[in-house]
Parts: sequence; C-alpha cells; structure tokens
Amino acid sequence: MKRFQGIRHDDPLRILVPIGVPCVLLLALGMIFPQVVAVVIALGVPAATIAVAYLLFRFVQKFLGENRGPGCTLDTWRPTVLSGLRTGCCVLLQWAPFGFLALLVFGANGLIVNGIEWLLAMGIDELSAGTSKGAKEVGEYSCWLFIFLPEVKEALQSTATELEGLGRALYNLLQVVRYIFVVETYVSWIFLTWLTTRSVLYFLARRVLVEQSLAPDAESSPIEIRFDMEFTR
Amino acid sequence: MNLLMRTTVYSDNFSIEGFEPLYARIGRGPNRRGNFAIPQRSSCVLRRLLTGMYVLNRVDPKSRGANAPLLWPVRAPERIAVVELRDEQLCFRMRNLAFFEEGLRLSTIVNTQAPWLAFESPLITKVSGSGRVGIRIDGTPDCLAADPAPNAPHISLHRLAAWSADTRFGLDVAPGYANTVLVAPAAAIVRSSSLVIAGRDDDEAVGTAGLAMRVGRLIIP
Repeated sequence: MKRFQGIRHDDPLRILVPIGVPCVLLLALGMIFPQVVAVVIALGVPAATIAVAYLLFRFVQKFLGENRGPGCTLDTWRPTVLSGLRTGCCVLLQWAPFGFLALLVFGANGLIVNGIEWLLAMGIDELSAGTSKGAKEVGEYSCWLFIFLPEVKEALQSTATELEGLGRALYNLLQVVRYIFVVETYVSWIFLTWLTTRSVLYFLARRVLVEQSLAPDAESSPIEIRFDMEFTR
Repeated sequence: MNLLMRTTVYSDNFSIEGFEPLYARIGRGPNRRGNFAIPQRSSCVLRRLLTGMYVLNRVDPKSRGANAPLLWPVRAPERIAVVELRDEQLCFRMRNLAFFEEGLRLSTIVNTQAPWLAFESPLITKVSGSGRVGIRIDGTPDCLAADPAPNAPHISLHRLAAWSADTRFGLDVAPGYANTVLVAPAAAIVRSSSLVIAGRDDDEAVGTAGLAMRVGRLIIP
C-alpha cells in the first residue's frame, strides 16, 4: 500500500520559487517606489493566506486519499446526522474562543482604521489649518517690547515654526497608526485561517486515531508516523 | 539495538577527552570563556534562532593538552545522554540538544502526516553522520529500543527528547468528546525503533494536562 510520507523532495521548490521570486522582485521594486509596498500588502497578504490554506487543505486531502486502509476515516467512519452534528459542534467549540476573538479584533481594527481615515479626511485638515493660522499669527505678532527683549521675539518665532510642524506631525502619526492597524487586521485574519485549519486538522487526526484503535487489526494498521523522509534541508 | 548499546547516560561530570571538536550550547559545557562559532549556518536556521542555538560554543578537547582532563559539567537533576552515531540518523528536539561533534550534520525533516501534524510541529530536526551527540534531559531518561511487538511502550509526546530516524510511532489519544474539544495530549506508541530517548516522568495518564497547556497546544503544535 502506498503511504503518505510527507511532501516529495521537489515539491517545496515548486511552491517556493513561484511565490518567492515575485516576492523578491516586488520587494526590490517597493524599495524604489514606496507606493508599491502598500499594493503588495493589499494584494499579496490575502493571496498568500489563501495559498497557505489551500496547500494545507491539499496535504490533508492527499493524506486521506492515500491512507485508505483499515481504520482510516474514509473507509470506516460513516457519520450519521447526529455524529456529523457532534463533529461540527466539536470543531466549532475548539474554534469559538479564539475564532470569535480574532473576528472581534478584525472588526475592531476595521472600525479604528475607518475612524482614523475619517479623522485624516475631516478633522486633521481643519486642525492643520488652525495650527497654520495660529502659527502665522504668533509669528507675525509684534510689539514695541521686542526692541528691548529680542529673546521673546525669537522664542515666539520658534513656537510658530513648531506649531506649523505640529499639524503635519499629527497627520503623519495617524497615518502610521492606521498602517499598524491595517497590518494587525491581516495578522488576525491569518490567525483565524490558521485556527480554523488547526481545529479541523486536529479533529480529523483524532477521528483517524480513534477509528484506527477500533479496527480489528489495529496492530497492523498502516497509519504509522515515519521519519525517514526524503526531503531534508 | 546497536544504537541503544552505544548510548551512555551521564548523571555526573564526565570526561570528553578523546572526543572530536564539538559544538555546545552557549553557557554549557566546559569552555565558558566563549569560542563562538556558527556551524552549518544554513541548517535548521529558524529552530536554532528560536532556541538560541544559532551561535554555538566550539570546544576542542585536544587543545587543552594532557595536563587536566576536560570534563563536561552535569548539574542535577539534569542528565546527558551521549549517543554515538555511525552513519545513522537521530531526530531530536532542539531544546534538548547539549552538543554535537563537528563531523555531524544538522538538517530538518518535513513530516506532514496528518496525525503527527495535529499534535506536533511538521519540522523535525535531525542529526546524521558519524560522531557523538549529547542530549540533555531533566531527570533520569528512558532509553529504549523496540522491535515490532504487541506490547509496544507508550510515551507522552512532549516527553520525547530524541529518536532514531527508523522509528515507527503509532499515536494514541484519550477518548471522549471533552478530550476532543479540549485538545488532549497524545502518546506515542513505539512500534519499532533503534533508539528512543524520553524523560522518565511518564506516569501521567494520556488525557491529563492543565487547561492552559491544552489551549496552548491548540494554537501552537
């Protein structure tokens, strides 16, 4: 019987080269044109998440397809409606505490990002205008006292310069905060995908093991964990 | 059985005279002054970085001369199992590695068998070639070799420290839906193996573990 012994030795290159080479090229391009980085993150992260989930799914599918022996899930596990429901509940119960947390973080991040975008669009423009106006007024303020106290004039002018910069600094800060939250949104999304895959994988493996132990010739069951893989690095 | 016979467990300081130059975890071993080296810098990079094993301490037992025997310090309750490999392969957990001789080669196996993937990391570190490798274990270890037999020994997965690449494990988990939802720990059934080294404290029944440990196991294998 053909057993699943891990990925074939040429598989990693088949996966890594098509993903890795464009990534390196885009990274190089991003270093020249910073705007490309945003596009890469916006398109690349969801694409990578889907690719990883797909690859994990293929591994599981391959395992199920190639281990059709006594005690394996596909041959011996015939779920009824009730056991199917119980299975679904188990996976959901495993998923729920962290899955909902990840969804909440996902949603909260979206709200925060939208809020910051609104601030950037509406509030900050006015604030910048206000600070610029204030800076102008402070900078242009003159008084006969300045003849005797030139230090006060210099201090006022430097304050005006700082006020002018304040608006810009606040704008940049909010842009950075927004960027951090966007990245965190993707992280929570990847976590959610991982957790879903992990719950299903764990339950699937557990079913395999239980069915294996119930099989009549459990000792000669083909599902053995092996470590003589061809692929090493 | 040969590999088992070439395994020695030390509970006290032991001499490494006659050993080839070896790479030891920094802060351990006889040469504390630091002769830092990065051997095989492209092997097991991620795992070595995560366990602080990327930069190692190179110890050359021959450089000291014959005046004083060079001892490897062993502090209780730690034990060091020294395995002599002769063109064999030994899988191990990086956190348990104490040292390995210069002639040995580190590498990583990718094991994506679903039952293993569900309980353990798919990346397994391996050392191969000819030379000695030291495995660090807290407490007296269980060193065993098993032929295919009906009464195969059970070992909790997290207690496994090292095992030969020709090992065949079966996996066992506690039944029940409570154990399914709260990720129960699995035990390895040693179906056949030249050598398995594990922590001896294996009294805990399969299925008992702290809630935090089970929750952690669901997120990180």
